[in-house]
Parts: sequence; structure tokens; C-alpha cells
Amino acid sequence: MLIHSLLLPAQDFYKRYNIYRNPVRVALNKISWDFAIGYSNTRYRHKLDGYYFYQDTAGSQIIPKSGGTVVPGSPFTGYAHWVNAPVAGGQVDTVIRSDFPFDYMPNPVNNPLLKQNWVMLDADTTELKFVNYSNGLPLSLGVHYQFLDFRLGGGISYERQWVRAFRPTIYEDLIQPIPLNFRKTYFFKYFGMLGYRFYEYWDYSFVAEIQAGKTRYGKAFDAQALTSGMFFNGGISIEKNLSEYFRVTIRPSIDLKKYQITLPDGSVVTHRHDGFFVLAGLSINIPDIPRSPYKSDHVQLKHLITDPNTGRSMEVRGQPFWKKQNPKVGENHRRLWRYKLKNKKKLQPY
Amino acid sequence: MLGMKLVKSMYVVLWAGLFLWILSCDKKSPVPHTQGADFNQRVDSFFIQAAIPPYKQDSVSQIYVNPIVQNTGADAVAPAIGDVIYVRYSLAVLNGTSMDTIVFSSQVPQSIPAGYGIHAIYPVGIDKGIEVSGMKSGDTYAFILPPDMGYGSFVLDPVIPENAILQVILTLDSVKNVQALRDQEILLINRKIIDWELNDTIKWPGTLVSRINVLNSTLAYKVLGDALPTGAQVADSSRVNVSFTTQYLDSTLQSSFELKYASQPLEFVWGTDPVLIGFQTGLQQMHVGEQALFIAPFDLTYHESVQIFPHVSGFRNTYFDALYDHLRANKIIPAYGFEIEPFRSLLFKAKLNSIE
Repeated sequence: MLIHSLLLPAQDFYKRYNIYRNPVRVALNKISWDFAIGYSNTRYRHKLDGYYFYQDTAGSQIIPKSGGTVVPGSPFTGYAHWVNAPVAGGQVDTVIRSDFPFDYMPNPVNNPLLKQNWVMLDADTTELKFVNYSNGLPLSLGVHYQFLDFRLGGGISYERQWVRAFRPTIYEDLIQPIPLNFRKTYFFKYFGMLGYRFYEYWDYSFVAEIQAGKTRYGKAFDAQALTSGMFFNGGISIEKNLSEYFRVTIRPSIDLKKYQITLPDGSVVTHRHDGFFVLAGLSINIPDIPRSPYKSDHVQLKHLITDPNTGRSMEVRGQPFWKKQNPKVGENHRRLWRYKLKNKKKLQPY
Repeated sequence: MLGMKLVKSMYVVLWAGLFLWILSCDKKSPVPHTQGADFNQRVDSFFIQAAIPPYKQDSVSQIYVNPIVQNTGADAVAPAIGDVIYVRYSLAVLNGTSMDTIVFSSQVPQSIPAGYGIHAIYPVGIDKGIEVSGMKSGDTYAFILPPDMGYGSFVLDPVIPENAILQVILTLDSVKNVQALRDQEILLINRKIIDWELNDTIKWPGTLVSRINVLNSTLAYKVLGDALPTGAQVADSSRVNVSFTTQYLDSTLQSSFELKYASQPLEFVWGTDPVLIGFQTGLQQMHVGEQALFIAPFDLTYHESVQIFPHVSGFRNTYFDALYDHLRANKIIPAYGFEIEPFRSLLFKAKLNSIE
């Protein structure tokens, strides 16, 4: 019977020997529930092609070139908070006191009087960009269905992010980092997932996963001005299989995403905010069979009993779901470490 | 058992996260430093590779100088501080052990003027090189400039690397006293007044050209129009609105090069925003609604301005626009240095629109 049972598919086995299993449990067992928490580091960056950049002690603005050439010395208005919620900036006076026809300056080269407290650059010719690296705490909830080595699933994730000031890529001694009008924000992501288990080593599984979905941006971002496309996330899930129902996972991944901010005049700035994520978590399958209802049942392996209520033959577990279900001799015996501290100098402190 | 494993896993994850965070932090790559020993080492390698005897080096500025042609005649004059020098030049960048020429002297057929010893030359090493070499008129010298005397951190890929070592071959054609040049310029202005018939009341109705003495110099001023206007004149703290065009004297009277303020008037507060003395003196004579023409010699305009190498009127192209952007953004030279050449008199045609 043992050999025969090994050759039979599981479903046939239960059917043939009329072993009852709760169909809801069996169905739920096919689904893995994933929960993970971790760390993210997001790199914001963008090009400001087609814009002038202006900064003074009051803040910074970008001025679309589509509105015409800005003549230094003439008042103009640009847009502030162009990273998240653009608004018209205050009118700027960029009179360059060293420009024609203002007065002559003796000893002109490297004259300290030239260091005025504002800067204006053409982002096209200077290739000015800003970057920052922001830390975050992501939280992810997902489900997936495993079929052979493939998996299909989806989920949601929440990321709390602490956003740092944007630093210029050039002229760092000239342009001050741009502080944003928010210090922390959050992102919700909804995604579908495809995965493939490409390698297994003892209790470990290595699964390549791709997630694709949409991002919902926090309140710091102006929803009217923001447009976002799909985000993509590629990573490797390294899973330690503690039991057939329970896994501990570590998932390093790369997040690729961008959004566009439409300024009040209709011009657009594209921001990339790709990130590196490391998530650690748990993956659980609801067991397809229950624990033995008999308190006196000390069988360690999965085994058959007769249901005391229905009289049906049913299979039960001898182990909690997070432990190896069919342990060998000596496995799953917990170590008593209550004396470990007391005996720490002993060779075997347990 | 499970608890311990979880704690261990989280511990590993935390450390891994910390490690990755440190890795992901933006590290500033060290700026290549070619000063001091490295600079000398690279220049020495160049001498060896080019099989030329090493140049003399000035111990303070670190500039290498080497005479190519020396004028031993009686006409050889060393410039004094503030003098006007007329030079021709070529520029090259040390690339490994060879010099890559970026501007050829053959492209500079005429001497260009610069104010010597008064911080009016960029790169500053050229000014310093003339000083430490003791150049005289008629001499040609080669200078090798350390980065801080050359273009510094400026990069013009692939022509000029960061902290480039620059070789300048400079011919000092002549030296002129600034006072003598000013007198010469006044003669030119007088000649232009005649050539352009500014005294002719039929072609240019209105008052004759008057001369206003300012700071021991002379501003030529002429009202344009049929009658003398009687509107208000500028006063302290008044907001002045003026449209004008500007030109050099070596062009025709109709060929203004500065048209920006013709269509978009300049507004400034009189007495607060210091405008050019020659321009200000002209405006002071004007009445609201008046149109006038005034010619200011260079000592009432931008004097020596700034001579940038490569010079603005010679090699202004996309390549060197990047250099000018760099100089402008880093506020190394005044903005007028990109517009006005050294020792140029200016003619203004202005209309005083309003005074508030």
C-alpha cells in the first residue's frame, strides 16, 4: 500500500481510501499568503530639459522655455514645488548688477562682488539635474498560487518614505540643495506578480519574480497635476522552507517607476524614482488538514484518525503548521534555552 | 525555536539592509588633483616625451615659462600694471604626454587687447605668466599653466578634461599706455562725429553735438528730434524707464549690436541701481519723451572689461559657449564681460520713456 500510495496522485489517494479533507481548507491551501516588511532606498532624479532653473534665498523655481526666452534682468514668474505640487512662484527680479548696462567693476575676474545670492541656469546647456536618495519602510501583503515551478499572484504594498532634499548634479557649490515642502510621504502600490522557482537547495528556494502595477501617491503629491504609468519591480525571493506551510523570505528587488508633473502652463516634468528594496517576511499556506483533535494523540507525523463527530476517516497533523510536518527522529524537539544564560560558560549551555 | 529563527533572520536582514544602504549612498568620487607634485610629474613626462629641455618654473605660481622669441631691440617694452597689451595666442591641453591644440594661433590673425595686471584676463595664468616671465613687446613665450591658473574644474568633453593642464603660446605684439589709448579713442569719436555727420542739423535735426566733461573724459551728446524736449528729468529714487540700442564705433551708425533694450525697456531706480557712468551721464541730460544719441569713450564705459581666452569675438561657438556658461554660472567674471570687448567706446541711442 505504501508503494502504491507513492505512485498515486494525492487526490486519487484520498479518494481511493475515502479519507476526508475539508474542501475549503484544500482550496485555501493552494494559495500562499505573503507578508513582508523591510527597507527601501529610492533615488529620485529627473531631467530639466526645456527649463530654466532659478534659485535664491527664498527658494527655487523652474521656468518652462515654452513660455519664451527668459531675459535675465526682466521680472518673470516660474513654478515652485515642481517635484510634487506645482504652484506659481513669486515674481523674481533677476537684475544682474554686473550685466550691461550696469556699472563697470574694477578687478573683474574672481571679484567677490560677483557672488550674488541668486543663481539662474539654463538646464539644457548646463545639463542640470537634481537627485536625492530617500529612505523608506515598505510593507507588503500578497497572495500567490504556485503551479509546478511557476507562481501567479498579486498584492498591495505600502511604503512610508522620508524624502531628503534634492541635490544638484553640477555646481554643488553654487546651487543649494532643494528642500521639499514635505518631509515624509507614502505610496500605495497594487500589483500583479509572476514568478518562477529557478533553483532549490535543501530547504531553500530561489524564485525570480516580476511585479507590475499602479502606484497611488501620497497627499504630498498633487493628484490633479500628477500622472503615473505602470511600475515594475524585479527581484529574487529567497525562501527558507521551514515547513510545507510556512516559509521565511528575503526579497531584494529593484523598483522602476516614474511620474509626470504637469505644470499650470501645461508643460511637463518627468521624475524617475527607482528604488532598491529589501523585504523580509513570512509566507504561509493554510494547512489542508487540521491538528489532531485528541489531546492524548502524541503522534508526530501526519496520520489518519477517525473523526469523533462524523466517524469519517481523516488525516491530521501532529505538528504546528510552522514546523516540519513529518520530522525524522530528533527533529522538531525544541531546545530548552531557559538555562542558556546561566550555563553560558559551559560547553553545552542548553 | 521559531522565535529564535525569526530573530536571527531579522537580524541578518537588518545588517544586510544597513550594508546595502551604505553601498547605495552617493559617494563623492575624489576630485582628481593635478596640482603640486602630480602637476610637475605630468609636465616633466611631457618634456621627456617631447624631447625638449624643461621649461623654467616659477616657484610661487607653479607656471612653467619658456621663451620662444625674445625681442632684444630697443623697442622692447615690458608692460606696467594697467597697461593695454596686444597679444596673439594659441591654446593646447596636456593629454597624457602630448599637447592637444584647441585653438590655433593662425586663427588669430589680429592682436587682441587686454588690461595687464588688473585681474582682467581669464584664465588668470596668462596674466601671471606675462608677469613671471618678464615678457616684453615682440616676445613670444610658452606657458604651461597648472589647473588653478587655467580652466580649473571646467570640463569640455572631449577637448578639455577636468583640471586640465594648459599650454599657452603667447606673442606680445605691443604695449600701450591706457591714457594714450584714451586720447586715441577721443580722436576716433571726433572722426566718427564728422563721418556720421552728427553735426549736420539737416540730416540729424536738433541740437549740435555737445560735449559733457565727466571724470576728466568727454561724453558726446546729441538730441535727436526737431525741438528740444521739455519733459521731466531724472531725480534720485525715481524709477527710470528707458529704451536704447548700443553699438561700437567701428560699425555703421545703423548697426547696433545690443538690441535687447530696444524692445524691452530697461527699468531701474536712479541712484540705487548703479548704471554705467557714461550711460548715466547721457540719461541725466535727457527729458521724458526725448530721444538722444551719446558716445562714451571706454573710460566712461567698461574700461578693460575682461579678455577671455579663447576670446569672445574670435571663437564664440557652441564649444566655448559652455565655457562662458561655466564662467557665468560660477560668477567668475562679470556678465558684461561676455558682451563688451576690452577698451571699446560705445554709442547709445536712447529714448527716455518715463520717470516715476
